Amino acid sequence: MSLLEVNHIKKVYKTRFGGNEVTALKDVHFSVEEGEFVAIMGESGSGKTTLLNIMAALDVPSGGSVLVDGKDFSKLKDKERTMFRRENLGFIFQDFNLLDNFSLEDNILLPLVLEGKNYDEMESRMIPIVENLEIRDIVKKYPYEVSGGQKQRAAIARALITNPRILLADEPTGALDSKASTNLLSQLRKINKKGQTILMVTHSNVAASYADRVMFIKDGEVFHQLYKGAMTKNEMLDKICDSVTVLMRGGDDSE
Amino acid sequence: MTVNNKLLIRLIKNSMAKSRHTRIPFVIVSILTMMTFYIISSMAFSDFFIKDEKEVFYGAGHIISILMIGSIIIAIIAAVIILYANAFIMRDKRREIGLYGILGLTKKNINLMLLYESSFYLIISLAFSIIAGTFLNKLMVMVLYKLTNQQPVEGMVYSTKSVIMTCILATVIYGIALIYNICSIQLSKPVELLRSNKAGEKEPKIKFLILIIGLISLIAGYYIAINCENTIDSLFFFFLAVFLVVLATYCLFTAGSIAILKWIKNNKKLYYKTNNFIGVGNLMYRMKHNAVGLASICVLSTAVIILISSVFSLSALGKRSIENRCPKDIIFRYTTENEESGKKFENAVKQLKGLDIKDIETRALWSSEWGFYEGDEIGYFRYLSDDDRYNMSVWRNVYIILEDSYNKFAKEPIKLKKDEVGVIDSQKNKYTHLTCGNNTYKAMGDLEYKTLSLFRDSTMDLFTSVYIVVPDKKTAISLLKNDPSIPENLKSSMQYISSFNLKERMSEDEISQIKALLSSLCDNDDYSIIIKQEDTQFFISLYGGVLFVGIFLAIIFLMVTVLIIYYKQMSEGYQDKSRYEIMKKVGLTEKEVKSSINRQVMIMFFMPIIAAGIHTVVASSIIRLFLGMILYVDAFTFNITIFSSIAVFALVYCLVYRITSRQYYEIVNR
Repeated sequence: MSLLEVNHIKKVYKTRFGGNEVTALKDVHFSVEEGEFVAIMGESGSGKTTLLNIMAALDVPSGGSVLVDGKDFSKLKDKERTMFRRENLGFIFQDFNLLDNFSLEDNILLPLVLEGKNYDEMESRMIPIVENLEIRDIVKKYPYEVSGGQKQRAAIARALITNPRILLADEPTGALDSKASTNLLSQLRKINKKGQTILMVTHSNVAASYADRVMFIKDGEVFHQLYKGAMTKNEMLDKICDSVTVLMRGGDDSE
Repeated sequence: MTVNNKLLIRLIKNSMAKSRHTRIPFVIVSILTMMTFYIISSMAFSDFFIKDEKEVFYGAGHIISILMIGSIIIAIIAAVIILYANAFIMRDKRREIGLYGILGLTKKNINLMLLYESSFYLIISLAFSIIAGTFLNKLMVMVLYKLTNQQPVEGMVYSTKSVIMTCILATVIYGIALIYNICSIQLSKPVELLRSNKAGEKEPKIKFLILIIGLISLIAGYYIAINCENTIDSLFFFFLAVFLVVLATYCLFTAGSIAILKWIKNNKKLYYKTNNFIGVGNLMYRMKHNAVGLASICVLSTAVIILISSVFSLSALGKRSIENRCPKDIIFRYTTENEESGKKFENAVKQLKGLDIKDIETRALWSSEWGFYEGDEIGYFRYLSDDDRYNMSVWRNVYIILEDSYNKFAKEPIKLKKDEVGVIDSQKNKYTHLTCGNNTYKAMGDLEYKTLSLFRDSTMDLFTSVYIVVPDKKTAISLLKNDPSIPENLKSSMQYISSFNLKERMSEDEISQIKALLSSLCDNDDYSIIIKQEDTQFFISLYGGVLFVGIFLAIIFLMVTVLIIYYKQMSEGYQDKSRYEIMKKVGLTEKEVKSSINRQVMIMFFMPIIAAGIHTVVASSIIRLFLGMILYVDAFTFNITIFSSIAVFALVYCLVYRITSRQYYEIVNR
């Protein structure tokens, strides 16, 4: 059994007055194994954010189901879904989503505080994570005092502190310069090597080249998949670029 | 390239429509404060109170002074609140103006827009307030006439002078606001304006100096308020205490709240609890931004409560206060050596024609001023030296009454032994002996205070009085004269208080006839005539004026409080919105978010009103003494009005908060 199974997900949005229907996801079907690093690529409007929101239990699919460890959480009630999310999923966002009135440490500890853990336990859990991410020296600082890359690493620490089954990343390098992006991606790679399952949504080819597997989404469907296998990162990047070109050509019938 | 006016006006229209939830309250407050100023000032200038430089009725001059003071206070409040609201709106508008800058409007265009907008509000405020005010003026005069027991009169109330004054006041306030707006834009670049909401900010630091100033001034203010013991002191200290407590409120709300939150934060066990964690972090920033607003709410609430309770005390106790001042319709006080003057008075009064006179009586006493110094034991007095004439806590008015004349009026007569005197003071202290100068007497305190207080003019109630009943004239003289420090020329003549009642109201002529007769009886200038009918009218005018202006001020203060709460809720809503969105993403359930919001909102809600309640309770005694200037205030009734005012105000406050909270939740959950 796979860690995450996405079964024929469909998502239809209705406009407010019930007039037009917009299909964001037609039929998405795939699974993710334990310890995998999967990237989902697609243009804006391809439905990748909708997909991520559904996998993150922030949104409910119109059809199909999402199973984590064989458990379908799209059927759960609001509160239980939040609890499920809190216990099983970790998130990183493009704009970090750190609370600017808390120090990095407090931001990282927030999920544990919500669980009601005591401070000593929280700290012992945090230290290896922040050491790994090389931000131990700056945890007492506030978000506005550190760089974007450091903010994003703090966000990763916050996501990891609950020991989530899956780490969901939504354009994690979107707001970073190339140096910080490379740094961050190797951090993610490092975490993945230690056994953390990662699912990353991105439209950066470079970012996707760090993944074991890249899925391309177009018009609400999984259009194509690439496995890294034994390829080097650069070979993988070439492949991705080719696929993206094909993806873009296929959409343009005007010629 | 010039941008044409039409475009500018359209932009203004759009922005006004978009932010109507901040502009409409602003305009309403602006209209109401201006209207109140206009109404009160035009009443002050109208000829319903002073006509051709003469009072229309007895005491009307005082009403005018009260109205004048009231209108000055309202003008100040109007300036403060309009500038406050303007600053709030401006903060809201920075982004929008930044956008205009990027779209290509020049600073000149933007200034022109600000000018148009300000003028628009100014004209609307003035038009509404003057039109509505002119209709309300007459009604208000009638209300005030009713409050002062006057017959209603015909005629419109309109005063060009006060229209002009209102226009000038409004224009000046709006002018200052406009200058502020233009300056605040001139200083920043468009990109900064666009970004102005987003800059990260430092965690507030504890400002120890301010915290210490706050603590000290709070303790000092409270100490003064609690330890003030008489009306004269209260006159000096009331405003000092108010100043200290207001200062303390601002200091403690800003520095104290942050110090407490920091303390919690440094205590890891306490801080990393689910409930405290989010609350402390958010409250710290809330307090940083809103402490001044909260302190203002607290101060204004205290002002409203005090105004309401004073106003109610006036209307509840006013009548009794007049009765207390004038137990009889005519009271004639004079000093003479002639011991037969009582008889002379009675005979003279009986000659008065056309008046139905009854209850004639004459009381006699000696009076003197003694000093009671701190450290001396009770019963030990010294003659008051000239140096101590300004020291109100030392000053004692001493009244010496013969046993015979006391017994004449007392319900239960007393019999004093040899070398014994009866002593009682207005603080109801018990005396076992009495010493003044070289004489010591045994003392008994079993006297009727009320009977004694009728022996004199009770308007001097501001000081502590000591009543001494002596067995004979010799004892009285030796008490008065036997201190070596007493000046040689001190008179030992008796004061007489003769009084009588009348069955009917007197006409003005009759009043002057009585005045003439009574003054002809005296052989010196040391006399006074109190005519209850005049006094009553005087005090009714005074109370009516204070009541009227007090109610207006209470309403204005309340309105200002409501506006500040409303704006505070809105600005907090915008600040908190993004915070709660992130928390939801990180894993807070909807319920947790709601309960966390509720907790914080409740803390922010209760803090100012609880502080206001404490301030009022602490201040109640000094306020009572302060009111003692114009009113006989009994503690019981006054405390009831204080507590019921707090209750009523808390109720209104809750209501307002509920309504404005809706705006907050709407913003946060949008």
